[in-house]
Amino acid sequence: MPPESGRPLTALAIRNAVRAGRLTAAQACRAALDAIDVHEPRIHAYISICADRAMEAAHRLDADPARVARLPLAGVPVAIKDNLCTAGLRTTAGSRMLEAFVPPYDATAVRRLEEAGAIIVGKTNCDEFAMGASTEYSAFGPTRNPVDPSRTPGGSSGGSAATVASGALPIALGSDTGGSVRQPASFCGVVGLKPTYGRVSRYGLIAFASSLDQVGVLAGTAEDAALALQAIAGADAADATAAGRPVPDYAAALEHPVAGLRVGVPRALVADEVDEEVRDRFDRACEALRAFGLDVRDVSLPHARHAVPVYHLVASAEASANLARYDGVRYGLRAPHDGSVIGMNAATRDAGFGRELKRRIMLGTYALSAGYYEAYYARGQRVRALIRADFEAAFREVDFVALPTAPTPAFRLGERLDNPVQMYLADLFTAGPSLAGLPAISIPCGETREGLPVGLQLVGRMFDEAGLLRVAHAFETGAAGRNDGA
Amino acid sequence: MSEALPEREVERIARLARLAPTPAERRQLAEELGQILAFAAAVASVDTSGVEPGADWLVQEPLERPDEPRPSLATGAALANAPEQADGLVLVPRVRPRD
Repeated sequence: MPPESGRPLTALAIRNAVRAGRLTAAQACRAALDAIDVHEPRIHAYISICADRAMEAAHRLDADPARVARLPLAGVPVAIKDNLCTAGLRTTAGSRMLEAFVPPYDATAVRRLEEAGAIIVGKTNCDEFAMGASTEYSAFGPTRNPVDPSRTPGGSSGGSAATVASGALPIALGSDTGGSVRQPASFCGVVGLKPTYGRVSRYGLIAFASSLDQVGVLAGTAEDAALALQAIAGADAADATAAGRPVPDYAAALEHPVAGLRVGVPRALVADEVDEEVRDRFDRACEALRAFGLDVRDVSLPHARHAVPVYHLVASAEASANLARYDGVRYGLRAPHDGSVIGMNAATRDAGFGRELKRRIMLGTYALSAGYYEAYYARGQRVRALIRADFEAAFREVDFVALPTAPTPAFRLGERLDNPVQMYLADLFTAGPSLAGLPAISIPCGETREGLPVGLQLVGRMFDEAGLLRVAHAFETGAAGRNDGA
Repeated sequence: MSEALPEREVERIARLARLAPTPAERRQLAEELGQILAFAAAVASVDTSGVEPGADWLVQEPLERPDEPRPSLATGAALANAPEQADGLVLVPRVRPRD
């Protein structure tokens, strides 16, 4: 887009320009595709780019000005994480298993974005089946962080975060199971919103851990995240876990004052194993919230430090069950085999899944197997209930909980590949809210001395996305208004 | 240093998970799973007496759709991604030996 100010256009600006006839959807779409072409050799954010399909959709939109005038995302180019099904457009989930898979239907979130006028320009890279924190576990090669290409963009929605951070387009969909939208948002310096479990339909989201998976939004601003959430949220007859509760007007909520809202900081947790500069930027962000009139106080989340192991027990168990469907029969890969059904299943799974997938499937199978179920899976679910109870107790005293999004800024490619446990610790602050089903947002809150972005995470009560977006918007505009670069 | 999972356990789990790791992969999985389980073992120290393991609280205000027949995916579309198919059916290797 012609970024005259040096900053890429927001979805809101594109939408307004398209509706006013100052910009066509085709121009907006072409500009995004051109920008992607420029960035792609450096960051590899995409598994598939669908330029022709996108331009056709844009021209169809431009041919119907009466319709355009009503659409909340008219002509806005968007990218979709490649674990969300797109009818007729290859959807791989970052895996060899689905390298040639062309879904027969759209995910509900995808369909709703398109119905709102958004134009899908491509499918973004991700860790295989969304399991990972660096996008290095993609079977299609790693994505690199546009801020510093020697570093990962985080993961698993690393491609979505990287393309938004590159300025190529304003909104991308991701999915978040234990931090996969928020952590890459933090690493790349964009906004990442994980809605409440049940706020957005999971229909057409390739299942990883069904009690944790949620479709989320990567965007340049809180305002754009609100626009995107507005389009995709709400009940869906195709997903019984999608909540029937009405969807509020998120854009209107952004304008409400934030003074007097209470924010809790679990100090004891933040003291643990956090990079010094991250802690400093987090402390400054809390000071900024206080300066905007919020009441910042300490809270206690005594079980939160168990979130990562609990998360891995629960998520791996659910993954081992969900991934049982990849057996070489109905869709996906079928590898050369010994002629038996079981041999075909095993050969296919062996050839189709990467190392991390196999680790997690093995862990999950172990945790669910006879003799271990009680000690691992059931125990994990009990501690999960305690983690949720901690948040419920905190929310009797405060409206939000603030945490760093990730314990470190973006790490280098390869740095954690040989140490699974180290990789898992990237979810230290994001896994807890996921286990509790709560909505959470990551917003940029400064940079390290090396110029790496740091994210502030705010966690809200069930279904309080409006509150999160409102504080995020105030933080963003307040920080920009003060213009002190903090 | 955490203890590796016994290799026969790895074999048992791999069979249940329909995976066929090579001996080298088995040894590596034994190590890595040992590390991950040692990491997860911290959870055992948490007092969970009186806590139910369910997560019923997770799904709030679910909406049920009316139980009415409606069209589903056409056979051709459903089979379009099948690795092997014929006559509207997916093909798999013979499950039972020929008589």
